Amino acid sequence: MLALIFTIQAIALILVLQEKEKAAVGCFWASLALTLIWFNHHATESLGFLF
Amino acid sequence: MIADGRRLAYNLNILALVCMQAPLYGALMVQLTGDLPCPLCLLERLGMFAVIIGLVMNVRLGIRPAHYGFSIAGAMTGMAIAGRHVLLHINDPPGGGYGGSVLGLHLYTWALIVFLCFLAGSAVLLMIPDGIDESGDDVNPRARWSGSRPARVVCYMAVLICVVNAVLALMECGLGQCPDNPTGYWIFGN
Repeated sequence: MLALIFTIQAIALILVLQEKEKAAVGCFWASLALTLIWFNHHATESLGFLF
Repeated sequence: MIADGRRLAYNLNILALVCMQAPLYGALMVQLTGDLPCPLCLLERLGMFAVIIGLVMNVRLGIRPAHYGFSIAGAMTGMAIAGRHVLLHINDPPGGGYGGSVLGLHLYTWALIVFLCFLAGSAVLLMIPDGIDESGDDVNPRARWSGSRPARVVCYMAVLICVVNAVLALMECGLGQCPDNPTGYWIFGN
């Protein structure tokens, strides 16, 4: 999962450099949401039934 | 002629990019010496990259409040993660805590300091007079980007370190959950 989030962030950075702002913003929010979900999982094990 | 405030804000954004990447390269050096990062350490790196994305937007697409907002959201996320990490180890005996230390502080403590400093710095950046690109003015972000080699170098370095972290995270954790105290790379069967 962490590798996936890093990959989404790398894609966001590349999209910014290619001036595709809307797609980059989408990737940014997707990565931030996944980061928070994964942090919540590590902090509380509340998604333990999924993984 | 670009306003002095905008030129200052642009240069400070490049400086902030360097300052946000420095701990990531330092952490990479620590990792390559065999000290594997824990899941929360990797999440803190994700917070730093979220900050970096907003800064790269400022440098590449023009300085806008929304781009600062992306970075501040990333810094707040990273600060929450680093704060949790510090609190997890706050009662450890001297010499305890996860991993090695740099200048007497563990890397997660440094991460918390970096996020706090960025939030203070972004407050200053937002207060620079004429420090925001506005539509209809004479600023051309494309011309500014192509005329600034340091900006291009630091942005491509950001992409490079992000890709390296993605590969290393895949090698360490695979596609599932990382162990709390990793002792070896998943890809090598540890």
